[in-house]
Amino acid sequence: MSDELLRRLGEDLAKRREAIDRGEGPPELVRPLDDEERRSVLDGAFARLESDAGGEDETFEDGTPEDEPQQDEAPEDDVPEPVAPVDESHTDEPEAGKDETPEESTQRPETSEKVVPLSAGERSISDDRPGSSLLPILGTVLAIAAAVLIWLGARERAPQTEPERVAALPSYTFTRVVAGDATHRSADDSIPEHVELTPDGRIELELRPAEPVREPVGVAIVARPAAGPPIVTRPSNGVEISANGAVRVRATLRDLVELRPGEWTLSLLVGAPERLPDGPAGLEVGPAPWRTLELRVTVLPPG
Amino acid sequence: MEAALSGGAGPRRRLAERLLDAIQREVAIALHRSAARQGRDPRQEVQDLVQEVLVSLFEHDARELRRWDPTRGRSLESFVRLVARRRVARVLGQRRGNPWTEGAVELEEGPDEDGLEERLEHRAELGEVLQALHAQMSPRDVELFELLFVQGLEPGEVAEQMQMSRGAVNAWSYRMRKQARAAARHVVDAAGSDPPPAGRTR
Repeated sequence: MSDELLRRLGEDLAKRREAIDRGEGPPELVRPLDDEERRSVLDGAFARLESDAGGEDETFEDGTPEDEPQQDEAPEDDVPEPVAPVDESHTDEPEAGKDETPEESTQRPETSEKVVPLSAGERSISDDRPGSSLLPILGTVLAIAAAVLIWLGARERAPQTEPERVAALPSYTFTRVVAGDATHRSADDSIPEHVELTPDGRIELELRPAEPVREPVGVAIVARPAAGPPIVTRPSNGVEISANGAVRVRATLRDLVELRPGEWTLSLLVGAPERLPDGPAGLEVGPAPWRTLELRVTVLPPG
Repeated sequence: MEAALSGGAGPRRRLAERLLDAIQREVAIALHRSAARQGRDPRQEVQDLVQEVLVSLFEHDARELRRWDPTRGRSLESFVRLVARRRVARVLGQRRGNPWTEGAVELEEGPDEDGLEERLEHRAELGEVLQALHAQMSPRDVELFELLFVQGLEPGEVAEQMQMSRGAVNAWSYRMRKQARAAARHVVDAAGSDPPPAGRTR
């Protein structure tokens, strides 16, 4: 196995780059952004950054972890090693920290830098306080009391019926709605009930629960036209769920659901993934085991 | 850059604006011949992806941007283009449902397919393979690929520049070679089973 493919890939990239840098290529791609486009891009980016900064406590599991340095700087030997023999020149790649670039050495996971373990020989300040010997006993008593309370609570709640499961899910509210170029945030008290966008228009929605949700949740989308059957989708791309159950949807409308121009009501259903509908038939249940937020959408003709 | 990042919203925005053209060029390279852009408004697509890269650079108090180290000889624009290349590849890969962007890559050793390169080139799919590969790469992978296969430097020079041993560079090449071939097989398989170019036997 030679480097021929990699060499051709490199040449192909170099050629394309030279062409684009010379301004050659499809005009719609290479024409520099005009003033309005630049302003739109910057406004959108900084609105998103501002919004994300406001919700720093929410860490979404999907969507961005690929850029986390923790993953980028994983030791090279995390990659499964080949079964095929490696000749002598193919030594193992360096261990973490060895032969790494200065850039990487400064990008070790923050967690590993911040965790300061207490060695067995170290003593905490509380060890020197009078009566500190009672602390372990007090701790044990409190732990037993907490366990009993949890057990009693669990016994009273189980088994849950469907309505109870819904009641267990807190209410959700939109905290951010972006449709096309318009951004609305709950902080501005300007979350709209109605938006307009083209099928390729970008839509970003943030839904936050009234209190943290620890159980897994998913999202389904139900689009209802003015007349006709609803469309039900379970979007796989563009949806992120935080550890606290907050939901962020970032996609084009088309990526979420294919809608013809006209008036639609978009319902976002948040609930346990296994209980969300996969099609219109799934909507025919008794008390819905999910929370629903609605947005009226006017889908404009493309272009 | 430090002054801009610590100077509040105005200086940050001016810094972001300065980077727009460099990012757009990388976006244009990725979108050119990309199957992922089919059926979309290309102008809107360019703006969306440029915005996506900007956010990835400036989020978490510009953590990604702060990785730039001018003492390593790379200009800020060049560094930003490296970041943009990876980011755009991942976004496009996710949009296509490309399993190569999910991180779990099956490096199964298949038969050494003669003519894989020609089949790809024949079908103008080298760009797709490169995109799949970039979506998998770490920042160091991107930099090594750039030096070895785009700029065509000798492994010894690359080892010195990247402060790695020659053996580590060789081992990286070996791993990347396998990933590239697996990505190529994925692209070829996904595109169907067109015959190889005329005159080529397998």
